Amino acid sequence: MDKLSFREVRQGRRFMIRVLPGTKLVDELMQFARMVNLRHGAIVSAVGSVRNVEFSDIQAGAHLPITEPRMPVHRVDGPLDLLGLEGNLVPNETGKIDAHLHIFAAKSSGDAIGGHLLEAEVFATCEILLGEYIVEGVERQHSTRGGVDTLFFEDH
Amino acid sequence: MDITRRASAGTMQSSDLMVHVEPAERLDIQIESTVKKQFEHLIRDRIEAVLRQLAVTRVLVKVSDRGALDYAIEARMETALRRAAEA
Amino acid sequence: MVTRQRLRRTLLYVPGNMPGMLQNIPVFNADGVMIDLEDAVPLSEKDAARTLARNFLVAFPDRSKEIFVRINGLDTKYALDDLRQVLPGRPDGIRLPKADDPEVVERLDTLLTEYEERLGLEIGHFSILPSIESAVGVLNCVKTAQASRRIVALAFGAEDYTASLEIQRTRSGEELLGARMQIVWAAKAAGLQAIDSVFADANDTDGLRADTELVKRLGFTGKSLVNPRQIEVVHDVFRPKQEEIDHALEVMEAIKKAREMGTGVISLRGKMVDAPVVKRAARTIRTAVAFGLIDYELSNEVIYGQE
Repeated sequence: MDKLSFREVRQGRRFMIRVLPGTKLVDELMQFARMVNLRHGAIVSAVGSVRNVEFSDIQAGAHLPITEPRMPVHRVDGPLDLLGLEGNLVPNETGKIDAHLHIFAAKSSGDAIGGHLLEAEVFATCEILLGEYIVEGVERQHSTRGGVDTLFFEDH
Repeated sequence: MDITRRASAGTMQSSDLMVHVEPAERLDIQIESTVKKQFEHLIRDRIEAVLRQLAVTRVLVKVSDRGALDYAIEARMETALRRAAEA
Repeated sequence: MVTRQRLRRTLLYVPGNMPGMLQNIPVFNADGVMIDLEDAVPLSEKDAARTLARNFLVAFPDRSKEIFVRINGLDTKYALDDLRQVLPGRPDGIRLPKADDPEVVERLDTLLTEYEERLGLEIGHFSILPSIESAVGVLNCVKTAQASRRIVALAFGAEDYTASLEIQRTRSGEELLGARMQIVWAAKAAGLQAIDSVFADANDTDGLRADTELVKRLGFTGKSLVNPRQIEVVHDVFRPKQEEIDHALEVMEAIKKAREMGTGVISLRGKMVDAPVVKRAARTIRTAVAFGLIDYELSNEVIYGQE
């Protein structure tokens, strides 16, 4: 099994969260995780509405490693319907909690936008179900090959 | 780079040159030029520079020059050698 | 990002495999040249042309005009070698043929970034001039114009466009009107210049003048050329006429008076002068100044008025 690495995880706590309008979504989630001392987690569901969304995507034709000029940043003022937030929260090398989140949001026309979430502001509301997972030896580290941060499994 | 076959590059237009190369036991450069008297040695310098750069020691080079400048001499020489060395 | 604002009234094609023509580039007084590695070079000579073009660019680094290289289409096996050879010679930009959709421009943008990193150049150094040359290209050009920050203008390739529609090009050019309008809209909507296609018959000066006056009226800011003799004709069409300059100066005086009287509109010999008229006059003056025809200090207060 050299193409994949994994670690079995146990279910921890589960949280229902409402983020108030005007709040920076990613910052707030990080503060929450630190407050409840959540080490590993994943978004189970997230709906609501957002604006001033900043996200990036990978340019056509890009080769590894992916670097900043290959990931143009888009900024959509919105407001947009938050259709979903995918991703996980895992500590980085220094042990500080770090989120890798992708956003999916829709304009009034029904056209959707999406990508690697940098930051977004909650517009009317944001309802998140967050699942905690209990595991040891999993953190996010920078991968020189891929050029991006990625999950790293210590060999026990 | 070793020369495995005959090849050529360039055109007969003015300010251009025609370069023929073919495999040989030693280095031999033959130059025909409309400005041979004044510039033959300069043309030879450029050809030898490209040969050194592409590490070619044994080749027959025949050039008919129509008043080409250095950049064109080097370009045609490089293209002829690459074509002659293509596997 | 390299400044994009440059006069591009005349972009002259120079065959990439002809030293006699390449060496004349410093002498031509076109606004820019496009060293052609595509249609002007037979398949058997693609390797020779790109090596010659690179050597020329390296041998003549200081240039009085903008130099593009027209590479082969990204869907051909020649394009990557074209880029690998010519980019170290640091042309100003790449003309991309068959820019049928935004993605092909994005792919070129990514490749140019890779070369800029390898050559230690500022990201964004190389600009892109996509050429719209087919029905699908025309339909997609609104998005194509916004596909990369490197794009400086949209170009129209009428030869390939008419081939893709299987129609003939005519001297009066009605068959090109639809495509030309869409390209001008797409370029202007994206804040870009628009460069019209070549006029193939280099001996038909009247035809060239009529064609250039038509496209100028439609909103094109420049034209691709196939022969140096065409440069002066096209410059003359794009150069503001003296009566246009005089009228523009009168408009500026009129609007100054209007501002002093606290109104935004005033009549000039019976014709109304308001904001759009003033903006057009300002652009005529800016172009005239760029041509070195007059020397005039444009002030934004006069053009737009104070808050």
